[in-house]
Amino acid sequence: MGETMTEAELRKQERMIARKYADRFPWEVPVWGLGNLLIWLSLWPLVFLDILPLWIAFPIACVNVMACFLPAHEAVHGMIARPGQRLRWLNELVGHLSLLPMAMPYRIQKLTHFEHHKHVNHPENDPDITTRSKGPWHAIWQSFVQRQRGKGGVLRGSGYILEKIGRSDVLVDGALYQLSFFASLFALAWTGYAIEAALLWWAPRHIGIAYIQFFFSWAPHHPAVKRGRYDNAKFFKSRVGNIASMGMQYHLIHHLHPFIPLTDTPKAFRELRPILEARGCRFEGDLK
Amino acid sequence: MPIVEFFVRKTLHLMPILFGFLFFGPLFAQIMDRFGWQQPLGLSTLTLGLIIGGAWGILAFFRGSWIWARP
Repeated sequence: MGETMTEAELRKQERMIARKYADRFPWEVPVWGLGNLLIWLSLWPLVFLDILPLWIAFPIACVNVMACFLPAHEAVHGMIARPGQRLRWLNELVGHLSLLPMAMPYRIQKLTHFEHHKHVNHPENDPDITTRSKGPWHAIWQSFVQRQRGKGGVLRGSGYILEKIGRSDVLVDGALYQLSFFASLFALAWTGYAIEAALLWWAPRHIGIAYIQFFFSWAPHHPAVKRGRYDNAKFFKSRVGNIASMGMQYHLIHHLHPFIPLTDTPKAFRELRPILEARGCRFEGDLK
Repeated sequence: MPIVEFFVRKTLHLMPILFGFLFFGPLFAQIMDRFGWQQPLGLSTLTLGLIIGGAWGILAFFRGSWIWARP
């Protein structure tokens, strides 16, 4: 198919297929984002009242942090409602609230993520370039190393990018979130709930961030060198399956067409596959 | 507002030390309590927790890293 089509025909065909998936209301995003937050919040009284043992609540909290990022990511791209649409408030509400277990400000996430899309794999301008690593174990190690403050800070981190695009004003959100997060941990610790705070928030947050950086950023972009539209990410078969790898087997579909809801990217991939092959995209493993 | 900004910047700057004393200190103490360690090294669990947590926080502050490796 692709070999016989011209550049213009390929582009037209790709747009036509992508558009089919772009207008669905993704009801699963608010349900997922707000439901996940409610589950995480409910862990606290359940543990404090000795209804749920901490050793069960801890892995649930880890899953909550791992799962909190994607609904916010969908909101970043206006998947629930674009600016000016009736449900825009819901879009922004999901964005802000679903990230709470991660203690990550939505506005910072939104602005830096757009820069990632504009400059994928760029050594200076892509805020996610800090996840570039030699292999999977190095990527996990790097995730922990890169979040250390360092003497001069991580130059290529969010702060650097926000200053570069003239939006250092939103760093206030980061400061407030950090102060609130730490103040909550300190208050819990000094009222006798340090272990609960560590296992419901502090440790799950670190584990969750490593997981998100691994699957959302490192795995689909590795080795994070190429910067073309069709080769800045790859399609890959994950050993842990599509759901456990955050749906990132099809991450390039998202970069090509950011308005396609995450849960529709496998379907869109299957339909777009001949075009993607003609474009010379990277495929690793037998991805269906 | 400059005073608030100054306070926030200083607090965040000193956060590793604060975190070591104010979170790791009581955390280590409560872990020792959970394991039933009474007066380890002749100290109260909170005192020992604050010594270990605080020392780690001070080290993290000057080193710029909690895990020794730096970015």
